[in-house]
Amino acid sequence: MSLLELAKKTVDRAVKEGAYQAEVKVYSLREALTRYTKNVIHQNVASQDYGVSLKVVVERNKVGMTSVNSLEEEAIQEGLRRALKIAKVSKPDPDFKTLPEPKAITPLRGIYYKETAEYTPEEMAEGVKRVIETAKDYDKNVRWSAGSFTTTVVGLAITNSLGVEAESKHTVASLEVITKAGPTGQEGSGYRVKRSRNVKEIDPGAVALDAARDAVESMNPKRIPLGEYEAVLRPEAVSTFLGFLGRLGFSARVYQEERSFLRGKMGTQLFDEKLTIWDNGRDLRTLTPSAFDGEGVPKRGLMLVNGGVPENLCYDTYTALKEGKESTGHAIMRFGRAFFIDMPLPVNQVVSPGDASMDELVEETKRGVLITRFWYVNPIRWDLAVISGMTSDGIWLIENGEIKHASQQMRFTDSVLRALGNIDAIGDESTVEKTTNGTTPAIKVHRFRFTGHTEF
Amino acid sequence: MGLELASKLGATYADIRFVEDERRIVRVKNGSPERLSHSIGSGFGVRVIVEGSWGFAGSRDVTPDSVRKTVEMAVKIARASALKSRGEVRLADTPVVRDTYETRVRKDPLKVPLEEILDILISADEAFREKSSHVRTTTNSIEARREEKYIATSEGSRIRQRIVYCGGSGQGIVLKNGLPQRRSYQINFRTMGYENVEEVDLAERAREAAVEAEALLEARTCPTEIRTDLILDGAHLGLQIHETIGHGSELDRVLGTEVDLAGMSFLTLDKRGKFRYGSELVNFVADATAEGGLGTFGYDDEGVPAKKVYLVKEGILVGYQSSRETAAEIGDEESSGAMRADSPLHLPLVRMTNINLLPGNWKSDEIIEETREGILMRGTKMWSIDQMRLNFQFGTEIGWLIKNGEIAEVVRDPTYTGISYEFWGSVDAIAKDGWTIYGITGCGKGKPGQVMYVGHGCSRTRIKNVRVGVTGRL
Repeated sequence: MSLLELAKKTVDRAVKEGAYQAEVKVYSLREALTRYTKNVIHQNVASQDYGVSLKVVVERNKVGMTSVNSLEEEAIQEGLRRALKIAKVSKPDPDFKTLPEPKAITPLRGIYYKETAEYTPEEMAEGVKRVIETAKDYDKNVRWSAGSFTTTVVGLAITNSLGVEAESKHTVASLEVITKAGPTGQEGSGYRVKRSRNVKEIDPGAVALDAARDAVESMNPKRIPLGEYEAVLRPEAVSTFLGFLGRLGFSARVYQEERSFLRGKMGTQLFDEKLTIWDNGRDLRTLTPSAFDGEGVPKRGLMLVNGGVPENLCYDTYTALKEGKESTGHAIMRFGRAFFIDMPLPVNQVVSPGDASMDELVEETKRGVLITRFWYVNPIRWDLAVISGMTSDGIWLIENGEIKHASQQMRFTDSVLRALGNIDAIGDESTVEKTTNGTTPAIKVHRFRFTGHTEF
Repeated sequence: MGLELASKLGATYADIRFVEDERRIVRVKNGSPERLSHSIGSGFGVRVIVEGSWGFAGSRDVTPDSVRKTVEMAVKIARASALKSRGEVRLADTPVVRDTYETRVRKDPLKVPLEEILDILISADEAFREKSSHVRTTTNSIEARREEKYIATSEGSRIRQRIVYCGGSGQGIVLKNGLPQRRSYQINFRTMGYENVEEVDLAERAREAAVEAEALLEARTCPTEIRTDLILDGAHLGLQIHETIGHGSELDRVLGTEVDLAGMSFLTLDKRGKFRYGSELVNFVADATAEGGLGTFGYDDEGVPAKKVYLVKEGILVGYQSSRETAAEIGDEESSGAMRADSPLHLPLVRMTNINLLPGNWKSDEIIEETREGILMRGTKMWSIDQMRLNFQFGTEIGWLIKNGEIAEVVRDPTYTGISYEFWGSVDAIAKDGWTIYGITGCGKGKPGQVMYVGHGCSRTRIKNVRVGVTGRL
């Protein structure tokens, strides 16, 4: 029985057993990971997970949810029984109106690659070996490399009693490389990651070379004074900002709870006019495109920021109907044991590129820093989108358009709105990368505040 | 069957772990049930050492055919690992054990009627609203979990465990003139039955939180860029322990095997027995035997008995949290018993148990009374720390300025920052009363990501001369 047939059968049973409405999601998740550090493989794993999530509604707005990690009929039946029991003892939720009505879903090609699904542990180990050897051969100062090579294969089916039927399978592969160079105390660190739905598009040697170059070039870091700097953000650093734009601003749930930094700011020039962000789950330039969202609602394009002006929020069915609107197709897909995220989010953001090469972004910087990525970032003030975290891996001081030397890592505390409200330039197509929060070029911001030193 | 097959396929060591995991979450938002969910998962994971290298595979399908295929996959993966391995894996010795362990439970939290739980949560919601005229959103939840594990090793250990967890939390968000503020409260998560919930008056905690939330709306912002004495207690102090010494003393980080996700640690092996991590008042232990702690169990996922080990003694770094492999790698005779996985499909990692700051000699009240100028902070709002566990920054929901031994005024959006060994080196008072183990249910680590339950015992503590108010001018 296919995942979709199983989902449909379970929905039918839920209705027969008294559910006013029912939604069933069935997933299968196959993950393989080869993890390495200090030039050896230390963790090599594979797992096959699957499960069924059930949401039932009784008496129009009493909702119960269960999940089981089994495709066995008996386990699913038990899950259904519990869901109905939970819904019956639940209190009415006045904001729940209905599950989504069915809409035509145009299938999306190019999201599943057999090459990724059939990649073997031996091929992954060979890829890791190539990373390690390429980095070592690059320069005598390279000490070691670490990271992971992963492949993921997801099958998903979503149905509901109103007629929604959605099914897909997709693949993702990722190779992450951290390379360390130079002696302790003067150590440089390079970080590069390549993600693709097709593992064959990942060239371990090329990723390793970039990480090794950054490691060597970031050796002998010096402490630079705290304060404000211009900042050239590589795509992985921009990705952190994109993640917080969704969580602290563009999610309708946060907006409805009056915590969003967008309250009273929609339609205003909140960001720099050079910034345009589009979210489109069907855009194959993003890492995990999909024809439908976590409720089986078709994905479509949504302009989030147009020339610096925030235009739209992201809705799922629940938040949309609360305002008498239609879902924008941003219900999150949840499967496996991921952290529980309970809000609609833009997960396929695309930042429009500008026309500056990476070299030009550096050349246009009078006194600033080049940042590879951020680490352990959390919000301090939601209403102002103030966040704090660390820089990670290569960071360099730029003076008068030239990289002067590597810097020690620093803590920043600043507002995403302030940073993206003052953009000097946006990188061109050559700087664009697929990240977990969206597809983005490098961005140079006019000011960015560093508030703390560390010791490396 | 699985262990025999692994041996036949060339494994010099193997273990197999079967798990059934049942969880129930009841959450009420703005007085209405938002999430009533119940999940049951089972499965197994197999670890093998073949040709000196590790392989791991797991599956949800607990059938003989699936066990065979999964063992074969683990062996295949181990052989692939050997392509770039560091040589023969060695494991520190551990006794062969045949035993069972169960959390002491008076009332099964998974069998408590939903109606009873909903009543508690709705009462807490009403209590918050009763005391707050600016409330916008409230959430209240109670969670329960049962984990049944069976671990068998090729060395002969056979261990059954039944661990039960429960606790809850609530929060209210208030808003005035566009300024949101939040106060939260807990039913401390513990390994215990539903009696843990029954001991707490959640509505009363909600009322207290609402009064503080309203006060925050009238409070001025925490002074910026000052140095002052910081007083911490409760669950927030638990998180400070968690992020600094907790993660910092995990031996896998020290040895570099978490560098690509969770980072490393500055507590390198050369510092053991010499490095001053805290003042002489500071003693940290990793204690998986502590009654009721969220990181309490009978045996870890390698079958190593639960232990209490010193990490920091009178301020000096003396130990690490370890596994059988990492312990052997640094020449220790035995593992600290810290290997745990959050799912049968995940590989066990070095995880915190209960990382406790042992009590001192002060009375809690005296710590405030004998502070000339300082700030008391509570309720975690923001946390961040660097890759080596040195530079940290935390923000809390509420702060109280202290002047001449008395609480002077409430301040909002307080933050503080520091370097972890300087911070713990500046501790000059730890209370003997009020010592509690606070549970954290969301400790993330590993790839694929794992979420672990851990505990942190602590009592009110004063830290001298801390940098406070780092949001600066915004």
